[in-house]
Amino acid sequence: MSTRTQVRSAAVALDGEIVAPKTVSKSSRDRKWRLKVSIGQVVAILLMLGVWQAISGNVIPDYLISSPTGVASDTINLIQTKTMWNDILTTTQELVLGYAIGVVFGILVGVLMGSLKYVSSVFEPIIAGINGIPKIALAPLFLLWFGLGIWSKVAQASMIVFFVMYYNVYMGMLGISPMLVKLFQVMGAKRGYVARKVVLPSLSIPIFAGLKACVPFAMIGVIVGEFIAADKGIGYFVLQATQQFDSAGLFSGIIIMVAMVLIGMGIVTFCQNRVLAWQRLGHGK
Amino acid sequence: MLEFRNVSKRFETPGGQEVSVLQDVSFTVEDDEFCVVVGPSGCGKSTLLNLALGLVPISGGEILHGGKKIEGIVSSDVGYITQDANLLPWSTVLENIMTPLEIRGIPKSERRTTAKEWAESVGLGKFLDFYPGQLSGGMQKRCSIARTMAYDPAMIYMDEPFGPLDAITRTILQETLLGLWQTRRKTILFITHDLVEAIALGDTVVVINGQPGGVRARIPITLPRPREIRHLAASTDFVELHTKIWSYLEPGVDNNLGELV
Repeated sequence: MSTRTQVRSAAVALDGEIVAPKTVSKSSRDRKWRLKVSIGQVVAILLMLGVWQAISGNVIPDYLISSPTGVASDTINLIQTKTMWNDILTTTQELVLGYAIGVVFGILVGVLMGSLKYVSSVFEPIIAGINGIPKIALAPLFLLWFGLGIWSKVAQASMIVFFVMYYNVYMGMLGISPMLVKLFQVMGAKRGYVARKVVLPSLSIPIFAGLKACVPFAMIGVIVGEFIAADKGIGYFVLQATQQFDSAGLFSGIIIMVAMVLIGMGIVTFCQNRVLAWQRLGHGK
Repeated sequence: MLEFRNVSKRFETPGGQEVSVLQDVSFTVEDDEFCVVVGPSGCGKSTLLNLALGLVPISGGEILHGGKKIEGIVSSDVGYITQDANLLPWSTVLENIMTPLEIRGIPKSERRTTAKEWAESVGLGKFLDFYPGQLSGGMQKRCSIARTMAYDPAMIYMDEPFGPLDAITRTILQETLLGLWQTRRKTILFITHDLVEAIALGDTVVVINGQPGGVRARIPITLPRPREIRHLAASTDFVELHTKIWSYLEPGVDNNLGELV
């Protein structure tokens, strides 16, 4: 944070001169504020957990909402069993494949639509129409086509991911500066060079926006697929737990899902910070 | 040499009407000449430049670049400096200046050396690893000039390059440009609406005016070189030229005002 502040103030430079970075007394005030926010967050969460623990079994029966302690011990027990790890592995497989396929096709179609006016004029309303389908309604169809195994879940996830990615990239294509492209053509750049050096980097922001938004969407697709018909996976586990009135198991399953989504988001953020380093240093015109 | 022969350009409005922007424009830019095209906004002077670069199709007449008729985007041995710096925001100053050298397939070490030299000659030597977003408008412009000079095109087209800058920065950059041009002669076609800039920089000033725009005058600027731009306005020769060129611009300006009201 403090390096970023320094860079910003160096940026406000007169033509040809560097303005020395201001020594920031603000950072200690910043730190205090952030500490205050963190304390507030911890207190809020503890309070909610406290209320949950207090009403569990007293106001609402335990089999409906379990309790924080129950869920905690259940989660710890679960992740020590082999079957749970098999479920996690299956769901991860479906998640990664569905995400990857959706992302790749979303980017390809987005770029294609953004670069060919005729194609986009023809297909834009058609794609919008297909996007109008509530994708979850297709789950039985995917089951029919791809069977009980992982592929019906992969299809479900990639179907959802595709549209989010496609719209991000397509809109990103429309935002590319035509002037910059022309300038590169005058400099003698061939199509491939323009694609690599101008188009792709211009798309990096919409692509990362899409990549981030798509992680939880992919999880929705996978879990819906597992709810419809499966014999393994976290979705399947949660459904089983519910049918056995094991609400602690259900909540544990959800916690594991959330953890998986957060790990996925973390990986995307890690890549984003590396690729978009220029972006954090201020915007060009 | 760049020749405009009876060039005209018509656009079709979204309503389907034809609007004539340029009519019968003819003039010649000699090799190593600094030619400035000046005119009020809306007279089609930027369109003229886009035509010369082949970025928009011509409606009538022809443009010859080194004796050859222009068809399609011109990309051999020309540089183009636009109103916005148009740098790659994800590349550093050095990388931006190296880009056209990379396009030309120049080996990496040589690219680096050349780009560094040019960065230094426009005063960006200390900012090689800065991103455009960290630079002021004037510094971005310096970078775009260095990027163009680095690959040494014989001809440079400049479209109101100093328009968005403040007066002080503009004067300094004009002097930088003249300094560079004096040491490495190039043919320059420079578009501006700023009369003072036109007189200060050019060997020749071509006045375009009217709607559709046409060449109203071609005035040689006889002021001696090297010129000190910041003191130029005081000289009597300058005032004379200014009055003369202004007389060709006036009618169109009145028209524009009439339209605004």
